Amino acid sequence: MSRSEALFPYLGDHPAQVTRLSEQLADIEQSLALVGEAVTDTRTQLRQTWVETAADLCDSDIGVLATGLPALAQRLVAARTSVDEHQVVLAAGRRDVDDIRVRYDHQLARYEQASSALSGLIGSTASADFAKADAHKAAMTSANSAMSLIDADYRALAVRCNTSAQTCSAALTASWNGGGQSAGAGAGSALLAQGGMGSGSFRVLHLTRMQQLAAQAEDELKGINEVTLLPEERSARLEDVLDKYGRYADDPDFATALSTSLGQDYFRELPGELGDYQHFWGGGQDGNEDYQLDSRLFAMSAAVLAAATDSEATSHVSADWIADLTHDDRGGVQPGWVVTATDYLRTGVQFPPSYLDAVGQSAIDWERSRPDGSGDPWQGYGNERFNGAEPLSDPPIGRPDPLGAVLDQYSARPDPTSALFTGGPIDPATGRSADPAAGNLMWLLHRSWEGDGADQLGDLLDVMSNPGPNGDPQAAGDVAYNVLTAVALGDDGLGRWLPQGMPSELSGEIRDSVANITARYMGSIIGEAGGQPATGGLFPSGIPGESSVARVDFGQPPDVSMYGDTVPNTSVARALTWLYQDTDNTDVRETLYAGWLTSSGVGAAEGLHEAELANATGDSAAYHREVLELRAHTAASAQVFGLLTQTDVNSFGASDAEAAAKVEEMRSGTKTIVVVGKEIVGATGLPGRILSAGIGIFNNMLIDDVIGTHEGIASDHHNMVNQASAGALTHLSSATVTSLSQLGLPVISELNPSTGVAVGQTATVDTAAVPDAALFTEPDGRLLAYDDIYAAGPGSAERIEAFERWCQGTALFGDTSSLLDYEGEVRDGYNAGLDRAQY
Amino acid sequence: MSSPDRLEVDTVAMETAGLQLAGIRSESTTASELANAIIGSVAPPDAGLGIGDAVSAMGRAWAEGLGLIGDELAALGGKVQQGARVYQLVERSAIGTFTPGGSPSGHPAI
Repeated sequence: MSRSEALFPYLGDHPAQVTRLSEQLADIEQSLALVGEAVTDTRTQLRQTWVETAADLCDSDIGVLATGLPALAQRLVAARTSVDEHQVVLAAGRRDVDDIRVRYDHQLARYEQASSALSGLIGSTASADFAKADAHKAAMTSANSAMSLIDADYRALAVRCNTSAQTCSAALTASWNGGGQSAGAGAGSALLAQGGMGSGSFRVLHLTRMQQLAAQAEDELKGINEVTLLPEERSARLEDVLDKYGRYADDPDFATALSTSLGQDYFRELPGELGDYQHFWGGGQDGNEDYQLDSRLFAMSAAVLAAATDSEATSHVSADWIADLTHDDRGGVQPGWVVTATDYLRTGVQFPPSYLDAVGQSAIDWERSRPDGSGDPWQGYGNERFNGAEPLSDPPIGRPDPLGAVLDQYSARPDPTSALFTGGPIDPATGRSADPAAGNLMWLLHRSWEGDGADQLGDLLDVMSNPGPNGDPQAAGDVAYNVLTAVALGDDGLGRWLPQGMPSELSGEIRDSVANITARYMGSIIGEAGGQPATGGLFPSGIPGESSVARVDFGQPPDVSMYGDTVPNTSVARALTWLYQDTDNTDVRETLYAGWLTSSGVGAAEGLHEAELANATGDSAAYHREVLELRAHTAASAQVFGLLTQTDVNSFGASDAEAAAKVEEMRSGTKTIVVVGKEIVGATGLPGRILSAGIGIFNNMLIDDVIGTHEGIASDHHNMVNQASAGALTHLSSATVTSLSQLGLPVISELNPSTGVAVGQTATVDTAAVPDAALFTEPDGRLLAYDDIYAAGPGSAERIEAFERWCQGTALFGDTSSLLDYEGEVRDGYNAGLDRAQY
Repeated sequence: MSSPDRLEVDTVAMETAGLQLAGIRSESTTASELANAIIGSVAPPDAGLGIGDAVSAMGRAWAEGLGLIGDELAALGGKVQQGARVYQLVERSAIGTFTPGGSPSGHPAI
């Protein structure tokens, strides 16, 4: 081997081997083409000779092959093309290496020749030799430079060859591994799947086998519960059936074939047949071996029924088949059949939504169809019930509750897309419920559930409205829409339309869950109140720690006040009002309160951030726009909060106290809340804070933060307050009106200025004369829209007169004139403080 | 199409189709063997990168896949042949039942 061969080995694969590979691939192509042509010919031949069902099945299988083989062949062609291209690069590379070797050998010889000549001149002092020596040195340098260039050429060639090998390898791998599957067992199946003939082709073979097994199972099940069978003989047959077919029970192909051939009668009559047999032969006791076998047959039948009715599976029975399980020939619901259909749900087998929705709807239809809905709708049905659940037991004690069984299944696997919990007919224009109150949901909410059914329903709706990190926000948002709108639209005894003292028909558990849902979607509610269209996207959940939720359009545009301001639409207002009002449960209120905190804060944070960005970049137009949006958000926040807390302030006070820790937490690091409060305060002054209903606790703390030093503005207020009114308002700087009582009277909380915690509260004066409601509220007691309240400026004659009337009615203030002065002074003081806040 | 309409079946052609399907398997087996032969056919290079590993992985995948196709073709051929034999039985039975010269209607019960 010459020195150059050792220095410059050939790069990459041997071109001859690659050429051979290309020929081999061409051979495979040719062979595959022959297979494809033969399959196509045979398919044509079969079509001409045999066109019955079984042949169609076979033909479809052959069809998969006939169409899949050309797709596979194309993959081979692509691979071979890449191999050919690689071969060209390799062949050229070899020629280049040969050339490099020649060039290198030449330059090496030149170098060595000059070097040798130079060595011969060492020691000479002749001037002519000096000239020769210089010439030899120059020749050596030139040769050395040339060899360096040759080495660079070789390296560039190596890059080209390596790139070609990588490209070719990728093409070869892609011929079978387009899906990224690792090499090894199953690579062939992966190849076929990518050729378009994977599961389809092999499924036909599986289907055929399952159909054969189902036909055998049907034969062997015939007459198995005939009382003429001796127990020993029957037990042997049951054991055999369970052993042979139990393993296939949940296979959709097997289950669909068996269910179709057995028919609905088998499933409807099985519990009765089992009961009859046991009654005749004296079985049916716990621990009895025959009973255990019966239980296993019942459970296997449940598995078959579940697999056959799963509309998501490739094989399944039709929706009509499922409907006929509970309906007679005239389309009427047979309650006894409904009981039987839902008893299969008790076996521990997980049923698909398609079955649960259909059977659940049958149960609802039956219950709703009964005159006035009184009494037990299932009385007298299900006498021959059979419970195949493990551990084995006698039929369940107590009345059957088909809907309870359906709910059990859904509770184990919540499905927000279930049709059972929707709110009536869908409006094609919006894709949402046209009238949620008319659908199942409203009825389910009011149903008298057995046991913990109401808990389950509430929990289920709560869970389904929370998409979680991996769920579908839109589906979860639809659930929230259905629940809240149904609650809002309910006029059949729900919520605030009830006479006072009359309890809601909703259970507390459901109410708690509805409160959770409201809090979760508080961002949408506030956005809607601010006139923002819900055009998709996500909001942070109003419940801390949860994933984002969909922006939900609750179905009605915001109302617009006479001043052109948007206010929450009536439905949402009713829902919020009812939720907060119709409960003494402080937890519910705290949930809503916390939801409001989170959603208000996040919304304000977004607006503030955008405003700050605009301010930083000097975009004054954007800055003013963002500030306007921020103000709209805070106004909406105040309105929503007012809706939540407009009545029964005593309970809100308790909620305030419980939430004090959260308030402090928010205060400590949430600049955004500062903005909320600042906007509210800046826009309203003290009466505004009162009328913002509950914002006070924030006002006080936020003012402190905005101003930067509590004492500065607070002392001014303190002094002014002391001058204006002593006694109850002594600590107004750190105390503020938190809300209105049920009669519209203020409730004043004394706050610790450092922590924001309410340390004292005036008693609600419920016996006082009712103030001029028109000043603050609508005739029905709801607070006026935010901007309506401030339509008349604080200094206007109209406002002063109204304020005076209001103060006289509160019985909290004796000296009205000083209070009027106080109002103005406080307003001025606040405004001065806000000016210093450098916002 | 109802079952009686399909009694006119060329069972011979069908049997042939079944045999043909089963016969295609041999060609598929050949293709599989060809794929198997490329495994290890490209040696590692003296220098630089080569495609040998990718070639072998491809060979294994294609040999396995084409083998599966062969198995399926054999199974399909069996199914078609079995169907042909069933139809041959039906055909013979029908000939026995509807032998000309029986009742005027051609049906023994009438």
